[in-house]
Amino acid sequence: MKKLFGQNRERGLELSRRGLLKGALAVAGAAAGARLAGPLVGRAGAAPNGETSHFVHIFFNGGLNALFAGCADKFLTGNVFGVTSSNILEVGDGVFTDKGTFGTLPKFALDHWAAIGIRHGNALHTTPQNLRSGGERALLVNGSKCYLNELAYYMGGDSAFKAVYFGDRAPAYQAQPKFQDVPLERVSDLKNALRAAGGDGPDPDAPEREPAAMALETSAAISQRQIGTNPGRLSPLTDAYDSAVASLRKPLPPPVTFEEIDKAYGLGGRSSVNSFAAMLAGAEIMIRAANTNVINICDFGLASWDFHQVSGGRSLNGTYSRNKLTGTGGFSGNRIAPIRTFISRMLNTPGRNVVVAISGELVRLPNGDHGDGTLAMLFGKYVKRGLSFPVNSQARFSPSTPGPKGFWAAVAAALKVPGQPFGANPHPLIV
Amino acid sequence: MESIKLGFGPCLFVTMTALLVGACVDEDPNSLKRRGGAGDDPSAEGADEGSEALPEALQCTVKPEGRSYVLFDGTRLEASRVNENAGVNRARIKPYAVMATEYERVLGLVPEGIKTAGGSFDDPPERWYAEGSHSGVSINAIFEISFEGCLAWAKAAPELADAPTDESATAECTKLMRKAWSRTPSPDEIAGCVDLAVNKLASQSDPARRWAYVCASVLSSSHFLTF
Repeated sequence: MKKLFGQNRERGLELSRRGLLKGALAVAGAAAGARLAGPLVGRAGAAPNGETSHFVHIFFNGGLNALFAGCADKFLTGNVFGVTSSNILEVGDGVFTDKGTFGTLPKFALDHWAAIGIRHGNALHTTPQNLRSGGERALLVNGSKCYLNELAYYMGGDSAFKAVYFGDRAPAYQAQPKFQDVPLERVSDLKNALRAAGGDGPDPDAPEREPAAMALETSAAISQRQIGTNPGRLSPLTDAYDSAVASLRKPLPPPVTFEEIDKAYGLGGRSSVNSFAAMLAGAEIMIRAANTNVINICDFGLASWDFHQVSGGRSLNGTYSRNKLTGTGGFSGNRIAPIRTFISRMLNTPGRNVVVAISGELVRLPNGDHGDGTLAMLFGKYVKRGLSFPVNSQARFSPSTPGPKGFWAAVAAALKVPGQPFGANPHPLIV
Repeated sequence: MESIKLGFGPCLFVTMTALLVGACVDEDPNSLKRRGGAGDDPSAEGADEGSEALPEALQCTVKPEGRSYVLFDGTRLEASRVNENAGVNRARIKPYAVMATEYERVLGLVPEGIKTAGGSFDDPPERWYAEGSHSGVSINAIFEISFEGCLAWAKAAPELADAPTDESATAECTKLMRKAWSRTPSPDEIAGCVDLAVNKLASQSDPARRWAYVCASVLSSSHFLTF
C-alpha cells in the first residue's frame, strides 16, 4: 500500500506541478537575447573582504537520503539503499556521496563540502494539513519568524529583493512574515523579473524608471487606507510596492543575457519556468541582476521526495532518489545537471561569497521510513570539507546533534555575517 | 435567531462567523483576531510570547446592543468574542481571468501584455481556484501592463492632449478612480493623484505619457486590483 501510495503520489504531483505552475515562473520569449540590466540590482551584504554575500537553499520536500549528503559509506554494509562500493565516491575528509549524482559536482564544490547534521526532532512532513509540525517547518521557521528572511536581514545590503523563493508554494506552506522590514517574496514569473530588471532593452513605449517609481509610490499611498483595513490579504502589497519602487531606483547591474542563461541551463529556448532547471537559472538571475541575498528553491509537489517504496523488504529510497535526481526511471527533469551548472558558475564567482545548502525535510531510515533530522550539504568558498554530526549506519543522529538554529549559525558563519545572529556556530567546518 | 441578529447587529454576525471560522482554520490570515506565528508553536526555538494586537482600524468601535449570557462557570459568553468590525478584511485579489475585461471596462481596450501575464497573477490551472497575491516583481509587471493600456487610452482621448493642470487633473483623477475602483475616491486619494499628475511628473514633456503614468498609478493601486 505504501509503495502504491508513494508511486501514485509522485506521478500525481508531477501532473499537479505542471498544472499549478502553468504560466508561472515564465521567462519570456520576448526576453530572449535581452539584456538583463536593471533596477532590481542593489548592493548585497558585504563580507569583511568586500565580497557580496548570497545564500541559496535548495530543498527537497519529503526527504533527502543521507547517502547523497555525505554519508554514503555508512550504508555500504548490507548494501542499504542500493549503496555499493562501486556506486559511491569518496570525496575526502570522511565525506562519501553517490557517484553518479552529487559525485559529479565540480572539484571546487567537492573541496568545500561540509555535511551538516540537523536534528530537528520531527519525523513528520510539513503539509497544508500539518502546518504546525514537520521537518520543513522545523528547518525554516524560527518561532514567529522565518530563518530565510531573518538571515537576509542580518546579511545587510540594500537589494530591492533581499529574500525570494521559487516553487509552487510558500516555504513551509505559509506566507512567512517579514522580519525587520525584509519580506520573503515569491518570484513567480521570470519574464517579469527580466522586465523589471530592464531586460528588454530600450523600448520607447515602456515606462521610464523614475516616473514609474513615482507613480507606484502614488499607487501605494492611495492604497494605504484599503490595505490598512484589509490586512488579511493585502498586507503583502505594501512590501510589493516598496520593493518595486526600490528596484526602479537601483543602478544598472552588469548585463546578463537570456541567451547566456538559456544555453547554460539547457532551457531549450523555452521561456516558461516550470522546471527545476529554470529555478536554478532564476537563482543565478536574481543574484547577478538583483543582488538578492537569500533564495529558497523548493522542489515542486507535495512531499514529492517521500519514497517509501520497498522491494523484498529493502528500501528503494536510494534508487528512486537517484532516478529523480537524474530524470530517469519515469521521472521527468534532470535535477542534478542544473545544480551542477549553478554551482559551477556561481560558487566561486569573484567578488561574491555564494553559499549553497542542499537539504531535505528528513533523512531516510534503512527501512525507508522517516528519520528525525536532516543532513545538509553546505558548499562555499569559506567552507571546509568534512562531516559535522553525521548520521550512523541506521541513519540516526547523535543526541548531541545541534538543531536547526545550529545549522543557520553555520550558514551565517560561512556567509561571514557580522556577529552571531543565530548563536555560536556549533559546526567547526567554516574557515 | 432573528432576535439575536437584530439585537446585536453586524458586529455579532461577524464575531459569530469568526468563532466558527477561527475554530476550523486558525491559520487563515483573514480569520478574525489573527494571531501571529508566535502562538503557533510555543515549543519552537525563539518563540515569542503573546499574540498580534488587533489594529485599531479593524476594531469594532460600536458597542453591540445585545443580551448577556452567563455560562455554567459564571463567565459571560460575550467576554470571549473576537473583536473585529463589519466590512473590514473583505478585499480579495482579482483573479487573472477577469483582468482583461477589467481593463476593457475602464480603458475601453485590452493591453496586449495582459494576454500572456497569467504567471504574474498566479493564474490557476483550469478547474482550480487559488487566490493570488502580489510581490514586487508582479506589481512592476502590472504597472507596465497598465501603462501600456493607459498610453493607448491617453493618446486616443482628445481631452488629454494637453498636460495636466490642477483643474484637469482633479477632474480626470476623480473620473478615472471612480470608474476603476467602482467607488467614489476620498479627497486625500484624489489629492495624491493630482499631485502626481501636476507636480511629480512635471518634467514629462509628452502629455500622453504623463497622463499614462497617472492612469497606470490608479490601475496599479489595491482598489483596482481587488474586489
